[in-house]
Amino acid sequence: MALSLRHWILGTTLGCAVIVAAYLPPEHGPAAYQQPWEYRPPTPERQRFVALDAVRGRSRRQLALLEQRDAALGRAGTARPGTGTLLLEPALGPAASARLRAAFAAIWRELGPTRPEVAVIVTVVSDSAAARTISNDRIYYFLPSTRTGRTCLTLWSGVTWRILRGTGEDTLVYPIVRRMIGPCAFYAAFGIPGQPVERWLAARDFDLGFVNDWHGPPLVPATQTFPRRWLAQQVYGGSFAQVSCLAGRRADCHAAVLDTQPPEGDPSDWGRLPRVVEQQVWSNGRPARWLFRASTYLVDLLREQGPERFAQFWHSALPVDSAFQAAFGSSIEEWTARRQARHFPQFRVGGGIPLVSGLLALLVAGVVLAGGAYLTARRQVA
Amino acid sequence: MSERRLAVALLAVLAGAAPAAGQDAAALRARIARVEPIWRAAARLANLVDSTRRFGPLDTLRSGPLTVYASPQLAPLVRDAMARARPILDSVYGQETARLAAHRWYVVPAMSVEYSGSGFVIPVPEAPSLDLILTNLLVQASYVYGQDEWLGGFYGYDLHPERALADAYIELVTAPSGAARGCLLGSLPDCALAFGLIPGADTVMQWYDAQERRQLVGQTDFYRRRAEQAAFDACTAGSDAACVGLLRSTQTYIYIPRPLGSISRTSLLRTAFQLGGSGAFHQWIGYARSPAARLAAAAGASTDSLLSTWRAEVLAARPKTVIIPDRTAWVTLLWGTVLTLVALRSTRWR
Amino acid sequence: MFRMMLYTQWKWSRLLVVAGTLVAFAIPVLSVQSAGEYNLQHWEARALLNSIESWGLAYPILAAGLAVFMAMTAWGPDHRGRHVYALSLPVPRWHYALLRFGAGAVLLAVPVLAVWIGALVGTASAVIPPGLHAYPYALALRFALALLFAYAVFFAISAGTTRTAGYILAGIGAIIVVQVMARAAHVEFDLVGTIFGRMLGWPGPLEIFTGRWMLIDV
Repeated sequence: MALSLRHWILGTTLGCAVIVAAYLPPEHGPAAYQQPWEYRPPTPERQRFVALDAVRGRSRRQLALLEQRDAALGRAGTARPGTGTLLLEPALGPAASARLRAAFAAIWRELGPTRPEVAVIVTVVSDSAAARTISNDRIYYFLPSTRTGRTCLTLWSGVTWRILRGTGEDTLVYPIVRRMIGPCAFYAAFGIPGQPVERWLAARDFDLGFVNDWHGPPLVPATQTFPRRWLAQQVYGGSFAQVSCLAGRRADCHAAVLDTQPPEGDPSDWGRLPRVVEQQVWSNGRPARWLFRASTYLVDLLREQGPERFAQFWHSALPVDSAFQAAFGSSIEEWTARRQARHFPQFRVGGGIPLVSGLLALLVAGVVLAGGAYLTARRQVA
Repeated sequence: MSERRLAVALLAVLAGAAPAAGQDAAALRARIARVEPIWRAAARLANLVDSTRRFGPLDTLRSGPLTVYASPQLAPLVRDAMARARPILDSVYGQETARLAAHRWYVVPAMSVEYSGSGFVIPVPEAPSLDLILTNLLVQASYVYGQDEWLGGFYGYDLHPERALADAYIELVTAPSGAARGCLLGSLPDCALAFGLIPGADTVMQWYDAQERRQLVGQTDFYRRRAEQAAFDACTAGSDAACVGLLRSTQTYIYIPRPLGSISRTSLLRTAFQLGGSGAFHQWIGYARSPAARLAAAAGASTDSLLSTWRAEVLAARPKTVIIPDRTAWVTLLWGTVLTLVALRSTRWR
Repeated sequence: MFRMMLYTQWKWSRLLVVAGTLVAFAIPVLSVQSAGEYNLQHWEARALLNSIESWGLAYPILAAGLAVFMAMTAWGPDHRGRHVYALSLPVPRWHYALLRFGAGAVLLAVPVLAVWIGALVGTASAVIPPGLHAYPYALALRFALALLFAYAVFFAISAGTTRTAGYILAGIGAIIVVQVMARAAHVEFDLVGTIFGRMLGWPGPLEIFTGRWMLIDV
């Protein structure tokens, strides 16, 4: 008996029903991470040691930080507000010291006029035991506080110290010195921020103000430099709010820029001191925690809105989003969404396709089809 | 310390280990002093328990600064390897061999990897050779002294010393750098420059000329991918300023190839140690000076003298240009004969 | 006449349509198999997205496969019959070609519908963690566009003679030869990479195939 159309439809529907019955609803979450080898949990003795080691390591690190801070403050006790001081050690050698000092002076000049409010002290510490305890390729920024007074102090030691002194390959001195000054540049140029702004930035480890090159050219869109697919993978490594913000959702931009809770699993607390901001020296390749290309956020804002408006925002005593609205005339989420779209244009989530691509595909399909019809019309049959 | 007492002490320490908000240095020092003995005892206990669980009972073998824990069935072989390793290590590291005493090696049958405590592990197959254990010991010993920035790697016993100078020769004559060419022709300042021994040298401008910079940028995928397209295009189209800008741009310094890299630098270091004799490695590893100063101290001679000796050695080690080992020649001849015979038997000829 | 065309096309390709429909329905349903829990850690949510993304490869492959086979069945009988049937019909040949195309396109709408319904059923039964959303409509639209595009291309190729196919292959071969010769002559000119980049990347016509095919995403 030949099958009718109705049989085919019925058969297909039945097939779909079987698929639904077999696979729905989903009953489990994503597969757990499988160790590629047989995992045996550490022994209780090892666990105890690890816990003790963490306490010891944290305490030693904190102590080393305090000692280095106090030593630097002692050495630069006369630093005046509005000035920048670079503290180096004799072991660095005269040539490397001269290069660093020249770079520091040039960058300090580039920052423009400073406010006589905060003194900036940049310290490169040597390979002493204390310095090695804190190195880990991080820069520490001691924000002005009751202990440091009106001083923004930065501290750096570790791997890069050896690079600086060692090889004579000096192409990285300028970027290094810029990074050493870091967020303290904003303190130098604009003074101490209003409390809400400072609390917000410090809680995020100043990730929005790590770059201070506001007289330099803005970054080109990331998509001009990196493959889109690779960038998208990087972006998904951070919070979902930042991904969503890149796709243009204002509410998520609000969350991404104002959030101060690190994403789950972020090992950020390993002996932090209050009012000390830490930054990885080389953060390339690591996904942004909260916001894509966060480090140039404040610089972008300053470049676009100008120093007067930025200063108004910086000093505002209002909550951050209100201060932003008052100073720049647009909401923080709107501006952030625009900025993110500039840095990663045409970012899409889900199965959405850009209108241009869709239209282009239809156009090409139409042209190809017309070509096919034309060839058919010309066909000669023997 | 008994386990119970250790646990109680640990709890006490953890209770007092809140983040150090507002704590001063004195409080931290007191806490560290309290933790230190407990931490040491805990480390000893954890290492003991872990190694027993992981490898079963192990024999402890000592030879000078080396301490190796080995499975009993491997112990005789390991003992021999240690005996052979000692003079080699002494010749390479001199008095610095003492640093090895702070580390432990485990030589155990190969097994699945899992969480491990501290120490170097040498997993060996069922029937290991003495050479295998010896080589692993020597290689892992070099890790103890850490990587050297200037050298671009670890320094240790050279497994193929006969190749070192010939490889350096090839690097010297093929490096696309004016400094390396100058060195080849006999200019010692160029040698120093190519080795990165001149503090404050502008390496981008002095290592390479404009054409070499353009080739460097054009042929390096890193710049193609990451540089701003306009700068990259300008550079490859002939703008030296664009090339210099790209090479100097943030964080790219590590991608500027050194004209004389690890191979040549290791050979230079080896020459320095030969000149300096015992104690040379000690002079080298004290890292409070520039690489040039460390090399001179290790060699016990001026940098120029060292470079001159190295250059003479390298030029003398020029490898043969075309090498046809006897075996290869015979095998080629054999195959040629076989194929000719096969061709003669082809139906086309009949 | 279109009805007759549609009927004959259905007869020639019904197995393909039914199989394609079942697969099209199954892919979104299977892709949400890991979406059974609400409270996920960040890395677990990423693992879920990775799992869904791995299924995403199946959509363009299905679209391309369906398009190839539908285009072949659309012209196969005509090629075998040396186009006598087409010549005997009282319509211009371009019109005949469009009728053939239309019949295939209508039948391909069934797998598109299946993707859409499968996506709706899948997302309705899945537990979507906070921060993530379902995109059944966008996914189905993307699938429809990809299918239509691929079908148009393969239909046009299939409509031609063997010589036409030969020209196309020769064109692709020429590009590769030029690239190889350019490399050999040390000319820094990545022709293949540039063409593929332009076609596959935004805003190229093939971007619909290479983007994210995510039923659930941020």
